Amino acid sequence: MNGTEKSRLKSPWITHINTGGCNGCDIEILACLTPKYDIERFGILNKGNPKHTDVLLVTGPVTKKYRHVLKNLYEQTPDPKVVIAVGTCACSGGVFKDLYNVEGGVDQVIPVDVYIPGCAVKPEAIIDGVVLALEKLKKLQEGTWKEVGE
Amino acid sequence: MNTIDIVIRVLLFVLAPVFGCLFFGIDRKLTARMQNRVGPPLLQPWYDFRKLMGKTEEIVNRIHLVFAFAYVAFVMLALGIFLMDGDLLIICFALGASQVFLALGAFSVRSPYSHVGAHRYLLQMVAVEPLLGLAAITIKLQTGSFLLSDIYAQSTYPFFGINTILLLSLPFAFFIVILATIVDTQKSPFDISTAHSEIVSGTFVEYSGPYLAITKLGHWFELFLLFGFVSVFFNSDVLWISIAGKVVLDFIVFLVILVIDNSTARLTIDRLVKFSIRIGLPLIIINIVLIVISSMGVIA
Repeated sequence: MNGTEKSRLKSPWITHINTGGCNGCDIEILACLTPKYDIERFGILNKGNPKHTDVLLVTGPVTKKYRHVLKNLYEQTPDPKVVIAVGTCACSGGVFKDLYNVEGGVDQVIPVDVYIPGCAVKPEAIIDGVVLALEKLKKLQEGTWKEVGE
Repeated sequence: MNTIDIVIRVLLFVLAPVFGCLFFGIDRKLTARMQNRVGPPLLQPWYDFRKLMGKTEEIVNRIHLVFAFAYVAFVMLALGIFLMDGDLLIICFALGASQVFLALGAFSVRSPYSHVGAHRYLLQMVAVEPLLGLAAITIKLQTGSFLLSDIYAQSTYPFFGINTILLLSLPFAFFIVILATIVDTQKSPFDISTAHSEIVSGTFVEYSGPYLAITKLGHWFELFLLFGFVSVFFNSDVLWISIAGKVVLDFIVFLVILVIDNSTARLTIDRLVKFSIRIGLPLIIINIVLIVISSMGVIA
């Protein structure tokens, strides 16, 4: 693992995107930034700008109106990037699944690396999810990553 | 200037970004401790830099990048002049030019955040750069020269061989230099043009990957230069007193900036302009008047 690959694991900058959820998970994400959870100790910064971002934290079910916005944000994020679906709605659509104005989970629109279920998600679970995503990135860099079923 | 002297200056130039990087590392760590957090590792800015260098390049347009490189080049030019004991006024101009390039770069893309950031950046320059220039002029009035080599040579103050003359006779100019340092390093209450929670990161919003890393590199150079400017206010005949004094002075200013950063909220841009006109400008004029009076021999 060279210096750049090591640095990637030590400096994941996040952007959180609400695709039409109830705002519950967003508040939990912001709770991670407080002194109690202090995610900055892992080098995580909340950037709010896709062009500076490594990790996209997506909350809420994807509404039909938001579909192209989410795609646009995903495409603006430079590689390598990680997408984390935060909350039950983002994982599968949750209680909004099959609603006439909802596409479903985030994975219906963009590829998702880590799913964090919960309504609303606990801050501990979000930190766990980001760490899991970094582990996946590490394995991808080492070439030891295996998809489920392989 | 002998060979060893030149080697030390070149080394300082090469190590300038290292100091800048460490400054931001210590800054983030101490900020976290002040907020009762653990905070990132000391080398966090370096990890950020390496990571950004390894990301894919996404270019908005080419002129945007040219301006980013021009910003870094002019900051490096200003630092080069500073380390070769050049002209203080030229250093101010080169620094100002670098900042103009940063604003032009922000104007060359279509993002409204970038434009708001650039407008604020220009206003911030209008508020602070003239004061920095006036601070250089007060130094000239006191020492008779803009050249740093002459300023350093002016050590005749009989206080244990320490030429604290600049710090003691130019307290208000020193205040202005600290103000400029706060503004240019984008610290609260004057982190107006890159206001993170408000306009994302203003002037830097469209830079991504390696190009964002380049602007960060420029920022590290700029920081070293600004702290160099602060250290001009302390000189001595004895080399080790001079160096120790400069380091201690820089460190005190660093801590003061950090405390101010953590204890204040961001002001609006017009408050900065008003601050510089109502407080900065009168203070520097008082300083100039004091120098003129004392040079006429009215006050011993």
